[in-house]
Amino acid sequence: MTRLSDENTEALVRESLEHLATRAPDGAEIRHALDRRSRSRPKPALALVAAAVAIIALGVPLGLRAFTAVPPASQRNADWAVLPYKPGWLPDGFREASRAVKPYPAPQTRTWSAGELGRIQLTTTPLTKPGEPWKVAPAPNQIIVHGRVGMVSELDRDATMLTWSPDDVYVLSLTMYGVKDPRGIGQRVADEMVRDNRARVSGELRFGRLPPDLELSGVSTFMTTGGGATAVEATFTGQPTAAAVVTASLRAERPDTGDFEPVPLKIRGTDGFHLPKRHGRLGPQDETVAVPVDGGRWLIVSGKRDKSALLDIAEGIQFVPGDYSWFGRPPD
Amino acid sequence: MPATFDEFVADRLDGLLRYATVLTDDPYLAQDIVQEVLLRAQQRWPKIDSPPTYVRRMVTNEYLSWRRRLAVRRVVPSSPEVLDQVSPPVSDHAIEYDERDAMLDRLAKLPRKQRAAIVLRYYENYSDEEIGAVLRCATSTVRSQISRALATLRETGTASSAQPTGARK
Repeated sequence: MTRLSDENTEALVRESLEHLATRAPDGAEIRHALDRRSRSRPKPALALVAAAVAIIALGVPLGLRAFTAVPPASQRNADWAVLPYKPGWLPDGFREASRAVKPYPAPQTRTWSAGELGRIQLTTTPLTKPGEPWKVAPAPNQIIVHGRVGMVSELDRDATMLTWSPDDVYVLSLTMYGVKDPRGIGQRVADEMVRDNRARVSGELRFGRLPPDLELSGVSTFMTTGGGATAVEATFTGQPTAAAVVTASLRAERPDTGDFEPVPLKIRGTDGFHLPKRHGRLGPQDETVAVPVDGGRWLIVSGKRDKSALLDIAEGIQFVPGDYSWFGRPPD
Repeated sequence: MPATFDEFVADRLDGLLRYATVLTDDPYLAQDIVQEVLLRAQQRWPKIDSPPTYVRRMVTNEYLSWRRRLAVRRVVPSSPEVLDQVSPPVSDHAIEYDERDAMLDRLAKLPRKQRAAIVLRYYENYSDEEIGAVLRCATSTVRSQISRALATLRETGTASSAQPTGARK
């Protein structure tokens, strides 16, 4: 037998428990149970019948809105959110490449990639009024998924999207990029979609301090050539679906400096640098501060804020255990 | 402090679920326990003086006393060798988590009261006095429980038993 030191044991216990916490379920079922209990006035039978009459043809796919009575996830805890559906089947070769979640009412996203065979993206968006009819396109763009009417739309020559609601709680959008026979493949994927209350987004970063007008608005985990990467976004308070104002990421790649010479800057007690707003190889780039962290990766904070605000956010970032074990795997 | 039950749930539910998951090592049991506790708390909400403390204590007590359901739902962990046989090849990133996986296995084998004390100390950062209040025992008992738990958790087993496995997420 070997023994850990006291210090190592305590550190490992903390880390292990923190990681374990990432497996916590979301509170949707409990909220529903509490909501059912607290409802004192029974619904008339007619209303229940009306709720059962779900899907009606009409509308434009991109006009679909997420409306739901599902309470918004605590934005502080958006990195725990459960991804509610998963494909029970995908064509051979497709492996999971990214997971992303945003607070209500934005969709949650998973993608699977098969290189030259294409990419499949699944987004799940909560409906605000479960059971209410929602609107889809008329034939010939209809699809039927387990008796429910959905729609097919071509986003461009290379991308096809299927949209339907499997349960009157979520709207699912399945987008196939560069996939051969997207309608046929999409139909089978939709038919074999299953509930999944296990998959979640567990990134490695949390915001500590944020300016008062900003709040967490998204967490994504993905792979780069250098390994697992996490990005967290913040946007204007009360506007969870607005574009990110600030993004913090942890990844192996050093930020693109373009033609600018980085200005040395002490960040978290380590030598990092600052970059002004600029045009890099990837196009316009926001003001950025960056610093190498343990493990050879970079903490990069960028956005539409000045250097001191970005620096303050970087100083407050917390590192937590993430989970990339799903990467590169086909659906379970 | 939240004024109503609904505000309490909105503010605290996610944290309670994480605490219960860490306590039970079982997300489904954690959900059952938290739901059970909140449904009971909802009925007597006006009489509860300090809801955060009260509800956390109820969750802990449920965990400590949930013998029958624990017995039914208990998942027996497979050995690393078995998991390696059925798991896909592990990435370098997964190997980094071997120590943590081993620690989680050792935590899963602790007696429940020791585990609760460890969770309150190292996950909730409670003092001995606060842990004693939740577990309804003396601070000397708290120290003793934590000390014995840490002694168990320090034992890492033989070097050869720590096989890399990608099975635990």
